[in-house]
Amino acid sequence: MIDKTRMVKKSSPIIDLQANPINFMSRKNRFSVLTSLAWILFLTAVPSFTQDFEIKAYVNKSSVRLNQQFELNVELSGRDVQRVSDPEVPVLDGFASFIGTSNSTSMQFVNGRMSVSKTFKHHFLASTEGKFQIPAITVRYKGETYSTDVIDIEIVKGTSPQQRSSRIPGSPNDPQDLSEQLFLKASVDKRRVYKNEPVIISYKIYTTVNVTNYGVSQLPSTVGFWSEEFEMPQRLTSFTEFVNGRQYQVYEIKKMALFPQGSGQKTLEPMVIECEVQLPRRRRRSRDIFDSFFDDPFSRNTKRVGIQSNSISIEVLPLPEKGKPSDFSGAVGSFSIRSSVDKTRVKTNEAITLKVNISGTGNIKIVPQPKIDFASDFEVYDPKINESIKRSSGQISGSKLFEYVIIPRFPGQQSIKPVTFSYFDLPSKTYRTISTDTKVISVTKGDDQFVNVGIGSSKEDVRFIGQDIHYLQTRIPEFQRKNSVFYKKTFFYVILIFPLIILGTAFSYRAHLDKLSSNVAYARSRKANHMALSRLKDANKQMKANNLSGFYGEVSKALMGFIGDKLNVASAGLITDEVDKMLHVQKIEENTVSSYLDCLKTCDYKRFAPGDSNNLAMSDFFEKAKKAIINLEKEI
Amino acid sequence: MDMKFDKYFSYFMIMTLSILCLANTLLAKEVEVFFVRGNESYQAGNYKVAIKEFEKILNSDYESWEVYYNLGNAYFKDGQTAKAILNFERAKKLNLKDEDINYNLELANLAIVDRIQELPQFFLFKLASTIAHSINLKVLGGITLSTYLLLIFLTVLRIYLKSPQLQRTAFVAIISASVTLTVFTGLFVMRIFENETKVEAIVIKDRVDVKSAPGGLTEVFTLHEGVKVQIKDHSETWVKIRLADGKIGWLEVDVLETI
Repeated sequence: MIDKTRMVKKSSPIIDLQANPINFMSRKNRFSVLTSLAWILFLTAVPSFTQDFEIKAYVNKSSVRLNQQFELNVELSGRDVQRVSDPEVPVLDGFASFIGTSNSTSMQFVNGRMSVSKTFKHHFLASTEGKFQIPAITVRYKGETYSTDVIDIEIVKGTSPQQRSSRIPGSPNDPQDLSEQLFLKASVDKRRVYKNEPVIISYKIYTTVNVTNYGVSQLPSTVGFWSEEFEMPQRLTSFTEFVNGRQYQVYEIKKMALFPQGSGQKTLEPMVIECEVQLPRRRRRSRDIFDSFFDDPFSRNTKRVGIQSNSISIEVLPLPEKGKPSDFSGAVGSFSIRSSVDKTRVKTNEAITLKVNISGTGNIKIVPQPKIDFASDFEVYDPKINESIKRSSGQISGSKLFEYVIIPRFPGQQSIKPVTFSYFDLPSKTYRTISTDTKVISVTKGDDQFVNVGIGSSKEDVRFIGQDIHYLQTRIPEFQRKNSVFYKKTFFYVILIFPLIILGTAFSYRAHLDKLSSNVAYARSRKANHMALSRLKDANKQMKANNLSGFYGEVSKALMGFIGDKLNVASAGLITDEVDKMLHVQKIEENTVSSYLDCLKTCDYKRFAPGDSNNLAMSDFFEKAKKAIINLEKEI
Repeated sequence: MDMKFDKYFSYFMIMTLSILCLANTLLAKEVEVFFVRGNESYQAGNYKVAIKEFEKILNSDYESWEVYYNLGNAYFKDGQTAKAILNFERAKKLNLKDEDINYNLELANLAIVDRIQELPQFFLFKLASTIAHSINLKVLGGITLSTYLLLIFLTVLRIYLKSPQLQRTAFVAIISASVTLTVFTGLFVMRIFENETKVEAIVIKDRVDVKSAPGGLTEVFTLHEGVKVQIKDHSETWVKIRLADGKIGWLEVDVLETI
């Protein structure tokens, strides 16, 4: 603490002579008057020892917060205070620890009487909660013991010890003096935040002395945070604030928004600054009261003081896993998204600009490039990203603008699907997904038709670039009915089946031939008709030649031969009776057999007993014989 | 009475047949005129007119690969790539091995946006498919039928041949003919089966979104004009399609045209 020496001078011309123990009225000469004047001068300077002695003790506050300092003032007052030995520092074991002592002296002349008071300021740090008593302090004066009253003090639960400013060791100043007059305080708006939720931290100089300048000698380390500094005005403005009943000038020198990047307990290391302060000159101990006359109360003492802020710990909570969208990228705050296209009707290969703007408060820098599901018809270039951050009015806000250049390569109604963006909404403490609306772009075919060829083609396709299609077919073709497939036409099946018939015939004929060559009876039977017919033909010739016996002979041969062939017997030795027997064995109808035998008999009869050659009779018989053969052939 | 009716009937038949034949030849003549006019318009650069002329041929229920090819050329020159691809594909269906068709189709296919990777096939199927598609269906049918007739002929010959040496030669010939016939019949049946069951179509709209179900809202993927798809199933207004890479989805009928 600064020496608060105060001189109260009351230079009154009237000297209280009564206070003087020596009666100089007994001197009767001029010299004695001068001497007495000198005496007066002397006496005024000599302190009076007749003044009463007083000791007082009091604390600056009867209720102290835990871990806070308090002062125990012990004030000695009286004429002869200087001679009094210093009072002992009371031991406050159990509830407060002693830090140090400063003292001050003041003198007063009241109505020619001088009083001196000496104050000892004992600084203590409250360490235990509760109600305590500071014991009486005693001093001995002129053989007598003076003691103070017992002081009640209450120590209440207070804020955390970080609030206390600390000093830099090795500071040139008396520690007790400046720690309460000049300190740097770091304060945050909240101590429990979500990951990526901004913490506003501000550094303020609290001072009761005149700070003319300051310089930052160590910036607070912000490892594990993304920090965004607020702009501070060029000239610091100050405001007043009361701390522990003291009025301070407060200068805010630094303000930052910190976005914690990881969860857990984070500690912000203190900031160290060096201040240039102007202090009034002070004395260590002014035993001689005249010293104060040579002290110029307006001359200031400029000192450089290093001060350190408190460190701050912040608890960073992880973002809830529940309801976390898959595309969440860490943005925390409150945001809005907007998109626009510069035109909705284009030709192919004409560029469109798609702007996606994400704005809001929060860590806008962390906002990633939105994933846009462009149709494959679009050629999309990397976006141009514009970021603007506003650091004002106590929060970090801003916007991020993504500008995509897209070129539709193919005609049609193309749509750009909604762009979505997910963030953790701080006011509601939930995840939110916001999206833009769908943009529909109608693309018409551009004039540059052949630009397309080659785009997206593989290397093998390149050989076609610039080549034209082959020319028309000029020869007049053979037209056919539509959808007439030959395998459904009849002729196809005819071609398919006809050879099968041929094959079948060939096989059966072959089988027939085989039978003929291997079976005589079968062969003769097969030949019977043929033989009979050829004999009948011969008979017909004989009839025409009117050769009676020849005719009947041939008919007989035909009839006999037919039987012989059919039944596979030698026809030469056959007689009619035998024929009759054989035919009966074959179970041939009686009628047929009898008419056949009748013919045979007629033949025999006519051959050997020739009568007149009657042509009519011959042809009648011829027909009869033919019929008989045919009838027999049917039944045999 | 019967005789008379028979007579009139046969006259009537002959008349009808000859009128039909005459009409046929007249129509064929007209179709030839369309073809020539189409070619002339094409040469003059009037691709739209050429398209109309060639379409007339198809509308008269006649076709030939040359018509499809020329129509495809006209569409290509007119900038309607999807239609060009469609007609080149139709031409190719009638004539697999024509160099011009294949070249122009490949060139037109370059304009397709979607690059579709074909799924790999089992090598034997792939080989069979390659062989079957290396021959035109008509030629394949001709070869199959000829082999068949040859086999029949050889068999008949074998039946009537007397000399054992000749018989042995014929037998060897029959065996080889049978093997050849089996192979060609296999390929032929495969082609016929494919012809009858594999329905392919070309996307003719600029851009279509393929849905997961008929009338569905979920887009599975997007296709662009000119892509060839296989039609697997259909409802009234929707068809189920399959891409060469195995992707499956549903499309509205009117965005496709079958090859």
